[in-house]
Amino acid sequence: MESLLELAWVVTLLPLLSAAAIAAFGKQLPGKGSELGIAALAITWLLSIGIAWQTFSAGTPEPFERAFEWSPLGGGFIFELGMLVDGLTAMMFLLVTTVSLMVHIYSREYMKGEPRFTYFYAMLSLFTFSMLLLVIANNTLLAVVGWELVGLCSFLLIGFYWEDKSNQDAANKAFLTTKFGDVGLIVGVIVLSAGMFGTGTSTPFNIQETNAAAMAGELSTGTIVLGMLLIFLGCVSKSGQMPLHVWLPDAMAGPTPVSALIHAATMVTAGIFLLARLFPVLAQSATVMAVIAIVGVITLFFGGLLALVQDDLKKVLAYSTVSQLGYMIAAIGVGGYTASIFHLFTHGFFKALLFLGAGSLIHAVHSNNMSDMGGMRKPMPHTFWTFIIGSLALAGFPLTAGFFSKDEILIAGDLWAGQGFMTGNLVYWVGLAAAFVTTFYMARACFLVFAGENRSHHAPHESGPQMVAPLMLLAVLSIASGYLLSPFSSQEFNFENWTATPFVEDATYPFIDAEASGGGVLAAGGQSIMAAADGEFTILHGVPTWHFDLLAIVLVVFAAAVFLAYRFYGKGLPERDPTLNMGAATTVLVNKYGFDAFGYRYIVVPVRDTLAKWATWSSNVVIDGMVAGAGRATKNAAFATYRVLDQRVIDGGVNGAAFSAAWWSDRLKRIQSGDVQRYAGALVAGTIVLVLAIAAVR
Amino acid sequence: MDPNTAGWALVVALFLPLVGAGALAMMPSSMDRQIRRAAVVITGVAFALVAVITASFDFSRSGELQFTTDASWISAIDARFELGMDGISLPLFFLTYLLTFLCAIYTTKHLPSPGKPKAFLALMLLLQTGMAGTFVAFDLVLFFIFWELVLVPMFFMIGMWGGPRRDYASVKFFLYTLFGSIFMLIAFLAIYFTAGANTWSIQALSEMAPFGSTTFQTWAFLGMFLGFAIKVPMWPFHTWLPDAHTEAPTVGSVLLAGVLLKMGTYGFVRIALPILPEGAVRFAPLIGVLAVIGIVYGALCCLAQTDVKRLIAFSSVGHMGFVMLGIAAMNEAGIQAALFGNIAHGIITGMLFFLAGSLHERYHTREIAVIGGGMLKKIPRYGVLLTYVAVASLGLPGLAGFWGEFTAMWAAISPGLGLADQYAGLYLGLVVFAAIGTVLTAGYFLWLLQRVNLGDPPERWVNEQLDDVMTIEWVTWLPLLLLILALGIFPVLVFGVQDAAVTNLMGYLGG
Amino acid sequence: MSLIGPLLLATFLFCVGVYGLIARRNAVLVLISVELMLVSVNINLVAFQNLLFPGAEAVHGQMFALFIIAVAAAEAGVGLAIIFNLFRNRATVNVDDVDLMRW
Repeated sequence: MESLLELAWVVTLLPLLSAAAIAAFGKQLPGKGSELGIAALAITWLLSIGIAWQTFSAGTPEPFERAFEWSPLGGGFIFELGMLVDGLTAMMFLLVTTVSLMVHIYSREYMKGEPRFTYFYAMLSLFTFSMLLLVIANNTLLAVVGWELVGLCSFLLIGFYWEDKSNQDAANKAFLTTKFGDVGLIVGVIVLSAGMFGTGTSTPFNIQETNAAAMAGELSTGTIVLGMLLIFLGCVSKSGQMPLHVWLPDAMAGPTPVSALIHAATMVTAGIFLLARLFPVLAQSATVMAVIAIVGVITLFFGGLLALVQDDLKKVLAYSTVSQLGYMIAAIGVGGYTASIFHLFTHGFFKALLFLGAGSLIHAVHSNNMSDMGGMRKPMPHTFWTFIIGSLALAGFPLTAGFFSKDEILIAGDLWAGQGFMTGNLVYWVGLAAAFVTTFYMARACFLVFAGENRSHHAPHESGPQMVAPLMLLAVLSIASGYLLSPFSSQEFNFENWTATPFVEDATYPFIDAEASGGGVLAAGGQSIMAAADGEFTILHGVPTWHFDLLAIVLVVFAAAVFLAYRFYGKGLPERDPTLNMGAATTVLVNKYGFDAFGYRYIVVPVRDTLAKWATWSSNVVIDGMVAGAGRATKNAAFATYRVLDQRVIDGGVNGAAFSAAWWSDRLKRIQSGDVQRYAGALVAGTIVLVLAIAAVR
Repeated sequence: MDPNTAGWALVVALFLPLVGAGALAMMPSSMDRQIRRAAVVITGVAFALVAVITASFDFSRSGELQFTTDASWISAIDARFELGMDGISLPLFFLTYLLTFLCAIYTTKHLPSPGKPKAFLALMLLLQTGMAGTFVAFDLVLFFIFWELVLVPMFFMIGMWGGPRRDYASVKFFLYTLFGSIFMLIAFLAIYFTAGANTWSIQALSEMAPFGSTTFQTWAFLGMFLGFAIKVPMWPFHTWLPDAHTEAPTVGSVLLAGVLLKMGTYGFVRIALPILPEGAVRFAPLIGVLAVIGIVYGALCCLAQTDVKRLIAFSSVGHMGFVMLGIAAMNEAGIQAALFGNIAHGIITGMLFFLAGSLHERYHTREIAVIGGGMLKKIPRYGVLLTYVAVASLGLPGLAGFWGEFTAMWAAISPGLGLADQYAGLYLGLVVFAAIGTVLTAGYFLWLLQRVNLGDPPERWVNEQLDDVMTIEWVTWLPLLLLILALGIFPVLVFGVQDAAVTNLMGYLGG
Repeated sequence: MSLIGPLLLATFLFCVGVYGLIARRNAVLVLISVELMLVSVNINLVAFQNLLFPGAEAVHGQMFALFIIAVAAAEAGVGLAIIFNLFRNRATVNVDDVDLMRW
């Protein structure tokens, strides 16, 4: 049965081969290289399904690790090339290969006629390879390699239309912002590995060994806190957390399939993936978890607000990605390991669907702006219903994938709060509030795009089958994937059961007092925080149960948000809200006794116009300004250093030595008069002085 | 070839270029093409011989000296003719012959004014002997002679074939380096007399170490430090480098960055550390601080440059900072990182200088603002190559630059020889700032790429006929481009060869 | 034997030589002045030989004197040849006009 797992490396390597093949002779092929990429991806996709099947069918899988020495690093330490296949890896395999395959197929039509079509496909394949490398890595150093490579691919693809200065800037901003976070990641990885020196291992980067050492208490608190916080800094930048999210909306400058693959479904989740990989380590420290949860909560709320005021459809989706990534990060911070990666999994599908749908719309109207769309329901029926499904999933409408995964997060927060942690309450309540915001902006987007009159200057038409087919498949997954961890799933047929590993299951929180909290706590997922009263830890692989109270709240929130959005945007883009211009007689009724107006004036307007604008402003002016200011200050410092310190002071000292030598020699050379008799005179005088001197000494 | 007995092979490989230089000098200057071809043949044969030596090198015993020669030379001062190579010498030795060979090929088509291939190539061959000798000499006097031998041909290369400020740059290069080597020589002499064993042998002295008081070691190390640090160059001794690089002809820049700078770090690793371990430990924090200042500072200076070649020259300051950070870590991983960084920087920056040279040949300017972008449109292959090498230089994993940088930072977090107890906080700070330096490095390279590669070409170049990469350039560059990739994917190619030798070396340091 | 006579003579000749060497402008006279100085040294050598080792087998003083005479002759020959060439090229033997070797 191990045979398929042994082949896991093929999944990673095949896209690399296809990237090389596309780059080498893709241009000569009839499909300009796209068929190579699709073929390779199809094989890896099938393999991933096989691997997932095998891993999942084993229940909670023992991690499958294969590694061999790749290079010595000095001091007896070695760098391994190895793979670690467990439920988490298999899940990421499924997600990455599925979305990547869909994007590969979709792009054939979307990118048709682009001058750098072949290059685009080579980069897509290279990105897929890099992401899978990050996923399969059995040690943090190899993960860093994959991490940096996805960053490069992201940079190259954001700047795909590099003729425009704004796109170049966006690409540079993305690379540099994430590279800044990588400082944290790299130093964090180094700190953790240095902590491993004490255990006498020769592979200090090994993830499983690190997890084991952390749980056995062999890593000092300082190592864990410093190392994990630094690694978290890398995750903050890569996964678009505040305040380093600024690059993500700009990254929409890339082609839309790239946004779907890299900036929604896969690369931006790398940070969450890495935190999940090292979950047993970060679970050792209350500080680390609190920091992670708070950053996540701030991001999920304020990131969502930003989406309210966008006109660019892709930016709405980008900010919503920021917000959803915040949910995942927050879930990690409240011990919701399963909740987090489950949301990662479902979000990958429905967000990719939304982006690809947006791409289909943009393809039709040649504009990103929702003010240029409207009335798209009729001409583009397939895009319409798939987009609606994606939006419902994103908004967490009951029985879609987003509902199950987001509720997991809220429940995880609730349970964490039950252990007496404030962050748990934060995640629960702010998460609910943000669900309202999410629903509202997605409803707004849907109304603006599909309802009302066609405001575009083109005659929109439905996209071709190569674009619609991926939309349909992803739409199915946007609903179906949620049932892997729902009250409908069985004891074995259960996402939590598959993705937890013995490591995660054994992860304890040493900072929780087992007695005081009425028994110890184990959390592999939102559902399985279980404890035995006498401090004996057990884990129950439970099927989630219905939380009808939560379901009711969610439904109310959903209905309220959609209703509000419909009121303002249901008939297309409002000039001015017509409801406010009615006669005095109907005012009270139309205003529903003033509640609407109150809600509009004191909730919607402040939230949508003031608060969101303020958030936009803080994002664009303050934080972005700080980034730009840091850049400008660096540049000024650079010029000052170079001109004053380097050229004047340091080089001046060097030149000064040479010039003083020249000055003295200029004075001294005058002795060399060329007059023979002067020399003779000097000779005589010198002799006399010497004789006298010797005589005097004698 | 038996690595235990075939010392002659090393001697032949070492002096073949010198003989070749003599032979070239005999040829009449009118035989322009024949002279260039002869140089290719000579360097080619030498490279082939080195390839054979490499192939027959016993990698299982890379910690021991192989291909040794030990003959009496100047008995009056106990100087011996002692050659050999171990895992530390081999990669550098190989790189020297490869780069010179490629430079000779390149020169068949490109030679800056005033031409005179005979003189140029003869100087280059002379330079080759000097550089190669430095890496295989195991006698301090012999080492010093090879070390100084390098200065003369490089001085003339810059001074005769250089850019507009060549006189200034060549004299500065010569004097600055000579200044340092004097102190180095004094340190050598002091060691000779203090050790009292009447030997200049590096091996013997390393085995005898430590000798002399700690104070003596500190002073002697200071002397060597000045000699080697100027050559590396470390901040703040770096100012000769941008001038020399900017003015030097392409081939000169390539050899300067590719091999000459490596002599400094090699000297630290081979001589200063094992012979003066206590002095080295006392100096290590200072070296680390200067190295990290160099990293950040070099990157800042790069941001301010307007000249492509000068920018690349300043990037060397930063990259060599990572190499020195590895040495400052004073543990095996650090030395490994330093030596790997050496090789990687030699290949990558050598390649960058090739690119800068051909950029100048096409645009007749190196000003970024004048070039003004659009190279990917105008000369796409060239633009792709520049991107590739720049990305390698900013330390992307999978390419050669990464391993030296990452491993250096990794090694520096837990410095050896008791430094960790005393300076743990300092070294953590060094690692953080070095990592910030990588961001700045990425910043200036991306900015460079944005300004020269991307966008549309400005009007003045639109109708200009600019050649894309030519055949001769492909031939010259392909080995380097492949090596960048190969070392990135298979770091074991260098780490593996050096491993035993570095372990051996750390044995001398008591680590 | 008194040394005063020869020493006085030698001193006188040497001073004349030094004066001529420094003061005369004519290159030939400068050369002659040099010869005068050499001659004064010869006188000293012979005189001291006779004072310190009267009747000795080894006559080092005289031997030295003979060497110096021979070298002086050669020197005069070379010197005159230079002056001759100088005159042919520059039509002057004034040493003040010959300062090509100044900085």
